[in-house]
Amino acid sequence: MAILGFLTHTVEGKSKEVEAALAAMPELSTYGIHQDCYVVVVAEADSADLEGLMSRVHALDGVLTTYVTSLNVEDEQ
Amino acid sequence: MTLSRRDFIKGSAAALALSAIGGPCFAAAKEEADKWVKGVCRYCGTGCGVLVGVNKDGRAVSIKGDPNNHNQGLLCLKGAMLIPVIYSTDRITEPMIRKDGKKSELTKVSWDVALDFAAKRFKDAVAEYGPDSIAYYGSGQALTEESYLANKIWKAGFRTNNVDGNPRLCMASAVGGYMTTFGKDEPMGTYNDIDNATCFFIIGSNTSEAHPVLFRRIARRKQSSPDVKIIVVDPRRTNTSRIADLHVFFKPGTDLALLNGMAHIIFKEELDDDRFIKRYLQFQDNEGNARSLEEYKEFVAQYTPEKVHEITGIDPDMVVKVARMFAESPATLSLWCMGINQRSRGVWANNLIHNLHLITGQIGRPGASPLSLTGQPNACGGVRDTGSLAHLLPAGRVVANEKHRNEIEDYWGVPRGTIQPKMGHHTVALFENMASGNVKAVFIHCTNPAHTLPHLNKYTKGLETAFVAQTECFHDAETLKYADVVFPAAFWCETEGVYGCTERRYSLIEQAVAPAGQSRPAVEILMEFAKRAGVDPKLMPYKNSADIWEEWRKLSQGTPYNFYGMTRERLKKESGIKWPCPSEDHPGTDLRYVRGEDPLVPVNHETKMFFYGRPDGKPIVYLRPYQPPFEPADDEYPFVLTTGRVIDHWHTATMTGQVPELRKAYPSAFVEINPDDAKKLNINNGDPVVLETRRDKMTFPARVTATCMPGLVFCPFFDKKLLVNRLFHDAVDAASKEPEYKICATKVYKQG
Ligand code: SF4
Repeated sequence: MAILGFLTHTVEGKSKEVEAALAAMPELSTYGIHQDCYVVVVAEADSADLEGLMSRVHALDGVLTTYVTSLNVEDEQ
Repeated sequence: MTLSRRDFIKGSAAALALSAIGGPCFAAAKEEADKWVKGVCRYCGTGCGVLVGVNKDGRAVSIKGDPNNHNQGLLCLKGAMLIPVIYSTDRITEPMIRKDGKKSELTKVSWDVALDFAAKRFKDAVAEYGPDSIAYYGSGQALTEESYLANKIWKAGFRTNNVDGNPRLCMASAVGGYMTTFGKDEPMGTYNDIDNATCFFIIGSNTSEAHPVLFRRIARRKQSSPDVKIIVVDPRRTNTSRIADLHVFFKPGTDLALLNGMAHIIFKEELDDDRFIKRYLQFQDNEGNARSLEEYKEFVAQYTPEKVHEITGIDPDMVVKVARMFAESPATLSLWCMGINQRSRGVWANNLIHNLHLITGQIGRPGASPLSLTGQPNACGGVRDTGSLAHLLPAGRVVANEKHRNEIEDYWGVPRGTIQPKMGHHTVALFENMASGNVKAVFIHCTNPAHTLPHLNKYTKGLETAFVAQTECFHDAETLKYADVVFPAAFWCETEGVYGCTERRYSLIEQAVAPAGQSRPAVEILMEFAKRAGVDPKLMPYKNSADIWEEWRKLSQGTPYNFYGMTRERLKKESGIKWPCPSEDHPGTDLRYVRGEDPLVPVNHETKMFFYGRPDGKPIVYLRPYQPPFEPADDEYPFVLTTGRVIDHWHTATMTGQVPELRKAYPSAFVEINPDDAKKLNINNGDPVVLETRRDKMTFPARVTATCMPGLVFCPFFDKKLLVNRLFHDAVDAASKEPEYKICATKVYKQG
């Protein structure tokens, strides 16, 4: 399983909605809204599923884009 | 992995994400790898700093954004997925040759056999046909030391200026724009301008997908202040335009008219900076004749909003709005990329953007600057600055200038007269000359021309004809089909060297892991090959890449590219430094050409700005008329085809294609078509659609989407199974010789 840390950048006024939608996705843990527009998220998933997961995140209403800050794959090597 | 270790890594991941936006770190934010090695992302010209986590077995296991580099700890998904690329099973790990010509199989051989095999062919070609019968074709992805070394080997060792590379296909027009307007290449601004700009003029750039981490900085700036305005000029409605205040759609290839029309409104409404114009500027027409300010005003006065509308399709009111927003903002930052550069009038388009900044004085202040975005991670530092193109020499010198040649000859310790005065073959001419048999052997390093050249059916003939020696990391590269000898090169963090990104920032990539199999650092390959091919070993007195850097660093001293202060030791400690940086205690430069900021402007210079790139210190505002693209849509070929990137693949996908999760996102190329056009042509999502141009025809699955405006279709170019460049013509910009990949006429129909 890979662990991916990322920020979800939300459209103005949509951060709460986006956080709730992210929290409802079983692979994701959220760590709060910051500066009114960033949701800190950690994903735990098979790395083969990460892209699909990120596409689902991008497709959520109110998501402007995402930025990855770290990816750990040490137990997949 | 135990549960607690996973929890620990998860906590660290959250902490890193939070710290990237300046939040407090959680207690768990300790580093989980055994060591972290500093580097730069292998992909785009944003040049994000990375830290590669290596375990105690010497294996890379994690990656994170470098919090001390400009990206402040952030990466995009493809940058974060670089580790699996290193360990891809597709890696080439042993040298290979085709013993019996192009039709035979590549077979594995020893390094000695491969090097001798290639060296003999180059040596024989030089002996029989002279030095101009060989060439080097390099890359904006090669390390700086590699490009500097190859340039020296070919121009001073083999004595040919046939040194060019893929930056000719992406950045040459930006170089031409800076050189002709300011007298020296490279931007005056940096990414810090993003945090200070109050208006962004984004033209010909899908920043959101091509430079994702920069897009974040722009979006953050926009969200931080409601006064910040964003203008996006693009015939596609991309994710970038989601944050725009004004999205200007226009007929592809007509933006020169818009840029002149904006200049007209700026004068008409007295939005120009008269003081700046009178103090600093001069005016010139296309024939090189000096013109007056009044003549320039008269020239742009032809481009009334109505005339601009006629040419571009842009509403006349929109032209006025855009001009006002650009000129009235306290600080306007222009950002552009391939939509401007890959054009048959790319240099002119660059000049016209510079014109707007100059006539409004939107330059030399934080946030006010023209800043061209680079496509590749080291096109700026590695190729443009080292002069590794057919007409250039290091640090802004040109082969046509005897003084410049002599300076370099003296520095390299070769007799005067060694470097040839005639420009070598630029990229398109090089492949033409390979096809015609004039160039017998080419050394291709770190690039994939069989995928990226325009009018591929025509130019791959060059690769079929000439002897091809190639350094490559992945079997997937299309060019391997034509290679006679393949040298496995160490990949990215398997070796050490410098990358220089868009903003004049040089950062060191340190070696994190051992090279795969028998791969070797490219500087070793180049030196071994050159010695065997008869180049004097005295030209290459280096033990390693650090020695080459040392020579290059010292050569920059006293030039307008001065980065003498960037010692290897300093680059190891710091996460990138922006030149000019003339001494070891100099912090690097944000605002070029500005007194008190740029160390190359004398502290007591009489004016605040000094454009020292020009002999008279005055940038040129050009009178450049609108000219249509080489092949606009017409009755027979009624659509415009354009190409570009998608967010999860980079260039020809030889690297991103190794990562299953990125491959899954975009398994193949497609054609985007507007719903109105699709309806008329009875095309639905997924239908096979034929694009037929004057060169070839190909079938792509349809993506019906409002991203493209009516009359325009878009195909990404990453897919080697669907080489869209087969459809393109080979028209190049008259000055920069950069091909016009952005516009060609095509028929569009559903496969019957
Ligand atoms: S934005 Fe560019 S440089 Fe930064 S991580 Fe993504 S691909 Fe790499």
